[in-house]
Amino acid sequence: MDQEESDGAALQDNLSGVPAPRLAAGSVTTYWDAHAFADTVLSEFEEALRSGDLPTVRDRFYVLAAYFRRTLAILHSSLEHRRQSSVEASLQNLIVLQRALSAMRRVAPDAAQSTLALESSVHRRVNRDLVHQILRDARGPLSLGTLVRRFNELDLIADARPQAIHEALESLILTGHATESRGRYSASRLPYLEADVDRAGLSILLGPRLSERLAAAGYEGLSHVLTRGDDFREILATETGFGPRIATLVVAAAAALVPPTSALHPAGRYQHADLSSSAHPRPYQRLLHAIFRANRYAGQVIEAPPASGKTLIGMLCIEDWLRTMGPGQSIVVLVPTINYQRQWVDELCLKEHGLRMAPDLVFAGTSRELAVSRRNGVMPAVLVLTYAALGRPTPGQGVFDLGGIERFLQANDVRHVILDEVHRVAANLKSNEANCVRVFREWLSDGSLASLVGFSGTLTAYRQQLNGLGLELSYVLPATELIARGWVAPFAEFGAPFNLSEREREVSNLISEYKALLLDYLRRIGTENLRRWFCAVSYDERLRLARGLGMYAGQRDAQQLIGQRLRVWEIKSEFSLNDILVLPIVQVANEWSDRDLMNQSAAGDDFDHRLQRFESIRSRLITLLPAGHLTDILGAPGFGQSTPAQTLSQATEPRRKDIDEARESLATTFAGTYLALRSWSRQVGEGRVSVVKSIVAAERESRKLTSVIVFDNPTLLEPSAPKSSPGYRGVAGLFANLLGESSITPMAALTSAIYLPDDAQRPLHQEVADWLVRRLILDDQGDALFRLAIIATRLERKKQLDLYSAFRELFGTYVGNLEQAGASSLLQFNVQVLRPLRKLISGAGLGRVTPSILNSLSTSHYHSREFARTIRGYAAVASAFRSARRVEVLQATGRRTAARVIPVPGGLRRQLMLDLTARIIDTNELPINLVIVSDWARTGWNVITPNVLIDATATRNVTAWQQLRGRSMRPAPTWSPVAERLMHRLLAADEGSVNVNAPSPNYDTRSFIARLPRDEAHLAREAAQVRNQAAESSEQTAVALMLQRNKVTHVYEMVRAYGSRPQIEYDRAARTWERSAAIRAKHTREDAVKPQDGLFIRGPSHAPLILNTDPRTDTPSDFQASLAAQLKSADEIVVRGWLRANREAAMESLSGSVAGG
Amino acid sequence: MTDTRASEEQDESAPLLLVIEDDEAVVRLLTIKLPRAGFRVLAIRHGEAEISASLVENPDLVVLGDQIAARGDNYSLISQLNKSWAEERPPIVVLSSSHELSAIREALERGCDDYIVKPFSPSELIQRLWVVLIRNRLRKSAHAQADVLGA
Repeated sequence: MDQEESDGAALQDNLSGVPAPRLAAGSVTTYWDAHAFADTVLSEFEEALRSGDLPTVRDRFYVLAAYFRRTLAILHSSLEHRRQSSVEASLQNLIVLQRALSAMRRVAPDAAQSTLALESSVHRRVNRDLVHQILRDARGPLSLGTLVRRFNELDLIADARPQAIHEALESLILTGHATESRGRYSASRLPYLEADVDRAGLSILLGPRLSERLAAAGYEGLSHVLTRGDDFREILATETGFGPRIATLVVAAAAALVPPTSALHPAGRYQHADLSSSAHPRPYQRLLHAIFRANRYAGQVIEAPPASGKTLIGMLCIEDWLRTMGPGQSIVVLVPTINYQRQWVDELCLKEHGLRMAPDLVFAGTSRELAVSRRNGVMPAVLVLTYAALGRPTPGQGVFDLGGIERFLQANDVRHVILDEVHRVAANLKSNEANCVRVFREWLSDGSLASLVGFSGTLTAYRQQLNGLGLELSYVLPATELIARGWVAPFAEFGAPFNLSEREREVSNLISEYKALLLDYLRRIGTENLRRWFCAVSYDERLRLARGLGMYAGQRDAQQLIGQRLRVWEIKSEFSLNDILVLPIVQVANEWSDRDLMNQSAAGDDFDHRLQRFESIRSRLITLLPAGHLTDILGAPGFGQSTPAQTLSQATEPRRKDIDEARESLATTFAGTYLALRSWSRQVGEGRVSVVKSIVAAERESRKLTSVIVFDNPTLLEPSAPKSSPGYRGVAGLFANLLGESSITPMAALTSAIYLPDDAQRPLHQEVADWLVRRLILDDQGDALFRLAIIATRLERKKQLDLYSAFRELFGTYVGNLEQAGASSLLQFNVQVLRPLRKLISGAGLGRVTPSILNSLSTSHYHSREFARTIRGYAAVASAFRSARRVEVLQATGRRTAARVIPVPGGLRRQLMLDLTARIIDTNELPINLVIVSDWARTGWNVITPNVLIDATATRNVTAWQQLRGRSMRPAPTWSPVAERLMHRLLAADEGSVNVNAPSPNYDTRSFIARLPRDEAHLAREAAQVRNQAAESSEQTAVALMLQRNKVTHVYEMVRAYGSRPQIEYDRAARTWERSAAIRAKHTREDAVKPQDGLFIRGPSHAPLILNTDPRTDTPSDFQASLAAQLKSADEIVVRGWLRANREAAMESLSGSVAGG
Repeated sequence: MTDTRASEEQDESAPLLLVIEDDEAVVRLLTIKLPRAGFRVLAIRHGEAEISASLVENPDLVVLGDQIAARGDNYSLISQLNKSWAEERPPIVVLSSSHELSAIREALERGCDDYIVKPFSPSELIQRLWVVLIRNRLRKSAHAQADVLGA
């Protein structure tokens, strides 16, 4: 048996009543992951504490403590035997367990000992030290009883029994440090050396052997590891051969073992909730914070998927910093958009599980407003600013303003900086924002700044650039674990080949048929005849005709190219379709119809038969093509028998319009019609649109489709014209051709305009405007404004409600008139809302809190100003929706419909409008269920509900796509903390099972649910449907829970299967279809669970292509049928696959994710 | 109250700056930034005894915070420095929150060599301190040459 296995088995033997750690299974080495277990035991501990069940409180603590000790033993053994993966897993588990133990100790010090004291040898030394200290400080000899009481009053470690104190006394007497007289004890004058807990801590962490070697190298205690982390990495590498990722985890574990800053600085000057001691931070959030802390916040960046709660990690940092911050010092949080600014303020001030800081302490606005606030005496401690606001150059200069940034840092005595979504900066190293970060880095390196840390959800493409900013990617949080716990929505990816539609294919075939006829016609006339007639036309005339017909039009050296071509034609032995212009030149010069031409060539006897065949193709094409320019040409009278009109321009460089007219005049000729048909291939795209529709239909057929995001190239609906015919291309083309689909209500969002369907029965643009005013202004902004004003006042509930109803009335009246001219100004906001409310509050007898509320409700207060600005912005957006311009849209099929165009302005309102699109798609109060976006929709676009994302660009913009992909994986709003906790328990309960597909032998649903708190039991019962099934594996319940409460996102990447450069190709040897090399390269670093078998795959094949028989011939209907078949039960397979991936690949993910390995 | 800090491990030939400033944050920033720019820094808080004691160190330049003016001393310290050092007085740079023209004029009229408004950019401050120092050295050198020629 492997050492780890025996360790695990021993642990299982020694502990009862707690889930066993995972065991090695077959050839795949797997490791116990403490996260879920620690979280579960901690929540049980807290619940027992709440209900006063002290035996259970102690029991839960000692269960976790036992795991802690055992994990230490595994770590020491793994270090000794140099098993890297096991060392990594053990260190990570130690950090998680230590955090949970510390949290227990913080809330119940009587029941939970210091972790260091858990080690028996250290425990005895600490007892001895404390007893000696009590004796030394006492005025006279003490009895054993008094000693025990004073010892326990110290509250440093768990309550000691008299026996333990007696043992300590005996030890002290033995060494001459204490004396006993008549049952009373006192300290002797012999000098006493206290135990070196710092040194003992390192020995506990790394084992006596390694810690002795490290001590010889100058690292004698935990504090040395923490204060000389950089050198420590090298020493550890020398001593153990392990690389920097192990060192990072050792430093983080050391940081977790030393007392938290809160213990040293119990009360900072700023009041806030105790977040670090609460149960709210998730284990991995504590781990990531520990890594930051262990590295002393010195320029580290952590990559964690979107929606993984990076803000909370930031708040843990802020909490740590606030404890030691002096007056006037500040923390800066830099964010990409004002939407983020608002989120941070919410998290810092309003969220129940946030820091709950007084709003006056948190600033959100521009640096200019901050300067004004400071002049007015408001000294916020946390400044939330956008990168753009800070990095903005000096007006008129357009260059980076180093002095401006330094003045900002000095004026606000900035000590700590958080860079949120730092990839935005790394994306452009020459930007002002990047220069700002370099200044921070420089200030950090000389000590002017104390801390600088960063977060990103998508750093994959920018890892190298981080170094250019002087930042270091310290840790990449593996997505598998987050997905398995539902913090990131499980997802699957598909390749969606698109081809020509059935109609387009028929058109294409007819055009091919026409080409074959035309070539035959050309040969029938004969190259020799054509060349002779051509040469008979004067060179100048030929030149004029060639130019007029648009030969080489638009090319810089057109004259030269035409000349060369005309000379080639004089001697050419055989004409092909590439030389087709020779025909109209001859025809126009001689005023010959096609019939004339055949007659001249003495081959006119079969002309009528030939004409009939051309006509047949023409008439079939007219029925297939949408009415328009091409059908006009195809319907031109006198086909084949009329002389082309002589309307050619005389100009050396004719205008496009003249060329078009000249070409149209050729409509009656065989060659002229071909020239028009040749341009048809540029208008295709129906197949692409049809595949989008097929995806939506197949999704709807197989599961509950919430809403869809489509990512496409930005194209416009020709906004200046009252009519629009965008074809199929890009956002506008897709939007136009989805109009009128019965099950789809599309919206398109570009940086310059938003498009909505125009529906006379249900004017959607008006509906959106009403909803915006009602929900976003009246509810969201109004409630947030009110809460910010009263959050720090601790008003009793009744008074809060009274005030709130008065506020709602005032605010409602104000909002009712908002869209009138001038009504939304700051002045009106003050007159109609703030001033009456202040008056109301002044007379409400609220006591001491009155000045605080009045201060918040002043127009000089930055929060009020910010609200006024946002409300004004939303009012303008609502007006823009109401007055949306109607545009007639001609679909590519020829069907006429209409859309509403809402122009998007610049600045703040653009951000508001683009944020609004996420809210529109997320709400179920509006019918819009599909949004088409372009590459603006990335970081900061907080869309939640869509469970289908389609890349219709054929992967044009990889970076934008990756960021959007992250956006679509936010968990569903129904995935609550209760569901998260339950998932933890379920995963922990099933950990004894080696075969993930087999029910756990020790699991019984009923007894499991019986032990759950009521809220979790309700969810579990719902998921397990225990009324029908007596028992099943906890994994089955976990899968059901995920499917019921969370979403599973399907991500489709469309790939072109036709044309000269298809994006998929047939591998003859493997007899499979694969993406082209360029597309495969894009997928090298991506991974997902395959929807067919639930296997976790990294690389191109993680997103299987949906095929029927052959993507070159599959129709959209074929595609839809194949997809619908694959989607059946896919979500269950996907969720199960992610759970398995988390279980089986946890260590692989970890190994690959720690930077620098 | 005296709070004197001098950076250790500094080149003794580096110009010595006497920083008289009560704002802890400014002192902290200057004691970090200025040594890295090639200065030695002696930072003290305002107080007659402390200032008198620091004068014996013969600083090359004095950076004067604006708390002096805020206390109503009305630049009497500058007069005191002028008196104490006479012609050997090092150049004085005022670091003040006031951007009023009258305050700037008063400082310069009393013989201050430069006036920098808070909030300030350390990079800019360093550049200006060097300019003042170099100008002072040139002036001294010119005087010395004149003395030689005069003799």
